[in-house]
This record gives sequence, structure tokens and C-alpha cells, in this order.
Amino acid sequence: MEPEQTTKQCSLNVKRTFSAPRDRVFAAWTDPDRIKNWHAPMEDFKIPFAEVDLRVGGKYRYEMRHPDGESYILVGNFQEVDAPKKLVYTFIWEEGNAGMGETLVTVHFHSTEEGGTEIDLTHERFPDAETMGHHDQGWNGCLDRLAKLV
Amino acid sequence: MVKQTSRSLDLTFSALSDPTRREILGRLTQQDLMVTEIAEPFEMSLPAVSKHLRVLERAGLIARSREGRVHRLRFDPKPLGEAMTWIAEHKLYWEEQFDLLERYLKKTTHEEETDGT
Repeated sequence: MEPEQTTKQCSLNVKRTFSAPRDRVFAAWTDPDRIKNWHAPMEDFKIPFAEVDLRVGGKYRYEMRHPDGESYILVGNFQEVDAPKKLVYTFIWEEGNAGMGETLVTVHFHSTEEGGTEIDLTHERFPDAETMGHHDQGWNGCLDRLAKLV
Repeated sequence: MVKQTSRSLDLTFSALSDPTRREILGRLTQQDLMVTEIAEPFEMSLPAVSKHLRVLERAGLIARSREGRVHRLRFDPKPLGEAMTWIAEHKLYWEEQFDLLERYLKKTTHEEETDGT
């Protein structure tokens, strides 16, 4: 049994390799001015504001707004900051009324042999902050169940 | 773009975050069971099992029918579909983010090399 593996299976994992070096990829991911730039071009969305306090316990908050008024605000705080290698942060879609709760994002930035960067991102749900310490155990074997159930 | 307002999704994940409840659910996928049958393999009191069952019920993962004093429980897969939807939607969200980031990094390669930011 590999707890790490089973945990990951019940969350979602996405990977992508970029040709840019790690420092630039990390900066694009965390620097507010750069964040504002890379969301904007597609689907007419603009980033009216982006705030990032890149340190453990620091908050980030940015808004994605469509010209027709549709708006999404993403907020969270950093649990782990190991520039330019790793980030762990909470991820919350902020809304006026009921939100969907807090989730956790872990991002690894790996340098590739070709001088590029692989981003390995894991996004996990957990019911509330209290369970964060135990979510490894809590999710253990979860996918096995899901596979049987659905 | 993802926007999730569903409280029920929280309930689903919360319900699934406990090994006892997953065990109960796993057995209910095989067959419908009475509360006493569910409690049998666990070293816990009937009220404790009952508490787990209420969490699963609230999440809509199990449904209860009553025949006199006998409570029979069955598994309902619907909320799990919702949980899987959440995963699929966010996967798509991140893939989109990666597409955007890729474009940005390609576009700015030369600019950043020259202006030194």
C-alpha cells in the first residue's frame, strides 16, 4: 500500500512541460503583474486585480472578469513556499453566498534536462481545514471505492 | 471556467473522507442491508454506526426505507457522479490555465530577455 499514491488518485493531477526555464515559469505563476498578463488573452477575460503575498501564511486574491460582467474571484493562502520548486496553497472560489469550500493545490516545478520546466499539479478537496492534517489517511483507498461504485 | 456553488458536493466529499463510511458504502454497493447488519463487522456501538449512516444519508449516498421497526439501507450513486464532475471540471480548468501560461511564456521569451524583468 502506498498512501501517497492512493491519496493522489482521489484528487486530480495535471502535468505539463514548458520549454521555459523554471525561474520564469515560477515567476509567471506567482508574480501579480505576470498573472494579469497570462490570463487575459483568451475568452476576453481580464484580470482587474491580482494580489499575491508570496510567503507562508500570505494570501493571494485575483479576479477574472468578462466584459459582460461575469466575474470569478479566486482566493487562498500559502501553506508552503519553496521558490522556485514548490508551492502549496489553499484554493477557494470566492462568492457572495455559499462557496464550495476550501481545496488544496500543490504545485511542483521540476527542471527538465532540456532546460524546460515540468509543472506537476495536484488539486485536492477536503471538507474543512481541520482535516488537512489527516487527509492522506482520509482519502486512502478512496479511488478503489469510487471505481467500484460508479 | 469553474464556478461551484454546490453545498451537496461538500457533503459528498465530507462523507467519503472517513474509512468507516467508505467501508459501509462499499458493502451497500453489494446489497441492501439493515442497520444491524451494517453494524455487525464493526467494533462500535449501534448509535456510533447510526451516526455514520446519518452523514451518508445527508450526503444522499444512501437512502433508508422503513418496514415497521426494520430500517433497510440502500446505496445511491448519484452524488458520486457530482463529485466526479467536480474533478473533471477542475481538470479542464487547469488544462486551460496551462494553455494560457504556455502562450504567455512563448510570447514573452524575448521581451524578458531584453528588459531584464
